[in-house]
Amino acid sequence: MKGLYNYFREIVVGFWSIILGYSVTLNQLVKPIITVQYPRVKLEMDPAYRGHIELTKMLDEGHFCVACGTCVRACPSDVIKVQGIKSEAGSGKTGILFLIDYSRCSLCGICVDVCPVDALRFSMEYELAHYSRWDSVIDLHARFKEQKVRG
Amino acid sequence: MSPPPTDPNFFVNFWNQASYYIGPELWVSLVGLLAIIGFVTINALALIYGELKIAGHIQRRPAMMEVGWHGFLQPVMDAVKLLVKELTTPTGANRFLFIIAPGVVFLPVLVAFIVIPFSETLVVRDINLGLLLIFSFSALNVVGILIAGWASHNKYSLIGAMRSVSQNVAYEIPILLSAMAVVMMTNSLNLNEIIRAQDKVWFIIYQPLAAIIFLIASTAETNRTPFDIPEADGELVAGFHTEFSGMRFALFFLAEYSNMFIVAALFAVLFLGGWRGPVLPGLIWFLLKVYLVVFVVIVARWTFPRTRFDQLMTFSWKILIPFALFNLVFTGLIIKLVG
Repeated sequence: MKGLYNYFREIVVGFWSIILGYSVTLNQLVKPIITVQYPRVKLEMDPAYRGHIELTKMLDEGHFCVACGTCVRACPSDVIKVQGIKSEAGSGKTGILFLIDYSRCSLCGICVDVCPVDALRFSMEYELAHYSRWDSVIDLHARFKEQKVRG
Repeated sequence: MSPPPTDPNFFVNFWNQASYYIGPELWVSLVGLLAIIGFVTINALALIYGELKIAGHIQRRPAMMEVGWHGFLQPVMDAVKLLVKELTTPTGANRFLFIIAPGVVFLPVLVAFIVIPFSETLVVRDINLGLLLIFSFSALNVVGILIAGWASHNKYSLIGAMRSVSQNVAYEIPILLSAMAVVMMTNSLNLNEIIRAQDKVWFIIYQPLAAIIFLIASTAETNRTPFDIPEADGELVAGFHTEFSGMRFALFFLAEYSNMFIVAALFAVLFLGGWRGPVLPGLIWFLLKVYLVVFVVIVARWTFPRTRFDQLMTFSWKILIPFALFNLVFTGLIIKLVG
């Protein structure tokens, strides 16, 4: 008797689960699409996104880099190369060269933290596919000219 | 080279003589066959497009959008790709069987289309044993799959083929039993006669149990998910058609989608009144009903996980067949008492 009861119970439950399953998928079928056609449509990146570093651009001033070399010494992967010049004897240095080798960067963010003048920040770059290993070396000063002002 | 015929009536005479020897029936069959091949191809392309689009929208993505308007030409492009692909035969395979297997799977499909009544008059041959013809030729499908799996010289193919055979044997019975209930009510195996018998009420009202059993069992019969054990991609690579490439693979694909159309057409004929319906012409009604059933089968693929093999067998032998038998006996009783 117990077996017979279970037999019919299983059929009823199974049938109900079929109806439930159909209602779930048909519901999803009529809901709007949530993906975008990527190369044609691009989403706004989240402000918290951590791409490779870039020079901070606030208002329309120049960059803040003083070529002190703190980031170079702090970098655990030895990724950063910085050079600066003094415009006249006795004045402070100004950075003229800032290269990072992104292929070895681990995005730890120590350079951003240690920078005494807040000259570095994370970019929102995510399209980083390239053909050659040298393409992963990014010249931040060249990039700085095309950067948008972001607070 | 013989000179070209100079007699102006040559072709007329040739036509008359040919018609005399082979009769007009053959010309009807010839045109019908060409129409069927065209329809099978277009149907498969449309179903592939529909299936991928439905799959995409169920997963909240737009599916293919690049080739043509909303990816409309994608199945055509896939077909072109399959046409130009190399036909490979694995070492150790039985070459002869390997080559004929796709044909053995595909040709019975064409035969089944001969008797499907697209409208009251639009049927290639309106023969009296139409239902029997469809069932018997659909059963040949299994032989083709077994040949394909056997000839491939590949363990996955063979396992897939064996599973397909046992599955088809198990699910042929409930299909036949549930169709038999309808045949008992109409006293005819002619598909048009069955449709004419439904002029007042569709048989899905009289035979709801048979309709459900038929739909489930025919899903299994066409090896569709959740019963796609023969080609379970997770375990068997691609099952019986693992080793097939190019057009040979495409023939299996064509056969699968055409089989889907055939079982949906049978469901429409047996339970949904075929080409019957108000206002619109019969052909439109028939296609609407068929594609509605196909839609239900396609949505099932994106709703339910694949059954385990023992579950599959248990489901057929312990649930579908007893219920189909019960339904048959019950129908017989009612007919005896009422009719």
